[in-house]
Amino acid sequence: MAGRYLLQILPDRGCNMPVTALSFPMGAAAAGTSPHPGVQVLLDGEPSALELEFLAENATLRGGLGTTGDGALSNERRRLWLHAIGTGSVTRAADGRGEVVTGNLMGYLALGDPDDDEGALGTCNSRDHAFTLRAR
Amino acid sequence: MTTSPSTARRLWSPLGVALLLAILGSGTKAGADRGALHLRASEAFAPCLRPALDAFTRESGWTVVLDVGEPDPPREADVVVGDDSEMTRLLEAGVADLQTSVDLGSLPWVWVVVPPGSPPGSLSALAPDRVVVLGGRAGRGARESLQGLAADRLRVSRDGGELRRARYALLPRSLAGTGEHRRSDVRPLIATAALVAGAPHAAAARRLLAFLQGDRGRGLLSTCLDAIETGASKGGSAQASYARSVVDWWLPDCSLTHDGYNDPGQVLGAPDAVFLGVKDSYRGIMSLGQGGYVTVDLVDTAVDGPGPDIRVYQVTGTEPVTLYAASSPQGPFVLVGLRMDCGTRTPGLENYEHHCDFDLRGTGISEARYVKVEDGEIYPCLAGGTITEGADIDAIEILNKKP
Repeated sequence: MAGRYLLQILPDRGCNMPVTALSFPMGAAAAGTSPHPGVQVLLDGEPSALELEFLAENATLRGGLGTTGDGALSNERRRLWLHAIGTGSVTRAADGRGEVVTGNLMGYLALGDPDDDEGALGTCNSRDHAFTLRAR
Repeated sequence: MTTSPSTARRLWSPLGVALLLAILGSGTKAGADRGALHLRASEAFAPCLRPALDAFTRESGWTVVLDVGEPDPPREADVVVGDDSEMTRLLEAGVADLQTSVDLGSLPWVWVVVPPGSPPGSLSALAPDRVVVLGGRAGRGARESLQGLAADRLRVSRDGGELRRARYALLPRSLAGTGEHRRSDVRPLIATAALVAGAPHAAAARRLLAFLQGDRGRGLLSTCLDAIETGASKGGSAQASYARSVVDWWLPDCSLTHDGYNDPGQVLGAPDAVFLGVKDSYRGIMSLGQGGYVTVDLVDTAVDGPGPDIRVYQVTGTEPVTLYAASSPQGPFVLVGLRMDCGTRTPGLENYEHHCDFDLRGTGISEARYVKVEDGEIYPCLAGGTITEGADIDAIEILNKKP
């Protein structure tokens, strides 16, 4: 997986969050081969604000998705705080690159408006969040 | 790290200004900010510290300026006081001196209900008003406990006045206003104090820390803070059994590059982590980076017995850990605990040696020989700034061993 992607975070419906999905423009690149191959996926323009570090093996991505204490601003103008483990099968996109169209996300997420405190619009720990990482 | 607009807005809360003025007005060197000792404490602990700081001022002649806000960054402070969740990165980065860190006590969370006598249970659902909860890192656990509550029923605040006036609130006891208080099961905050590295008044700051740890200081703090509950002494017995070999591990390339403790072999055997007294300098740990993991063979088998079955020892702070277990090295690995705070103090070990316990009950498996320990902090590697990013694992112990 390499190049430009769109990350979507879909909170577990049981969390009763005010949004169904948040999206972020990302860039992906291979990252290391030992002890297992990896892929690093970073937020466009503010790479350390939202960082995905995946182990990439057997057509599966698995790893941590994290933000700093300031969260990351989504395309929908909502701020997301995220500390979660994502797992997803890699399938082939139309342009031949790999992408994840159905991924599971386990862990913590919190939402707010752009200038809000963390979790002002809700906080949720769940094993059943979801994510997608589609080629763009 | 950058400072968000909301962070900047929080720097001087009304409560903070009031306490600062109160402290300035009560010291024997009142108004003499030059030469004053600066202590920065988070909102929850500031009211608890005030009587002890006043006493220290009277007895030492040192004016203490109490600056209220998240201790990270410490700004001009000589001493910082915060919850584990606020102190971890400060201590690991060496911004605050781990060797001087001391636990002052714990602070429980309470439900505030006005009027008193309202129906117990499901307060968040029953309350006619918004439920007010503390913001910031220290309030994260409380906010998690309110998950599922609609956003328009929730109010997150760090304004001491607003918190005290709330009719329905989930707050640290020190910030609770009038009304009925009911104990909550949210993890209590742990007040940890430490000297800021390079503090301009280091000698006086050490004197203040000694005062807070002494009988006089502890007595004054005890009106607000409770004794810290340490973990059961179940672990570490003569028959204890620890992880014996590494089956698999992974750290992201970024973490391998930036972290200094990447050897998975360091999680084997009994707890042996040592802080070497210099920033970021340890022996005997593996830092798991951003979402990294280590899978170990316990050789002995953990079984579902009385109480928790497996203990993970983790150094400094309360960085969360996720644990999976299996009966074969190939798995399937079953989730035992997701992002469990790993900050329980361990009796008989150094102050920085913490642990978290896991129970096989309810996981669908009754025994396990292989466990996978995964970082649950999941903080962006590129923003890290320490060489100990992620949970720092010292050892893995079987608490209930198959005979």
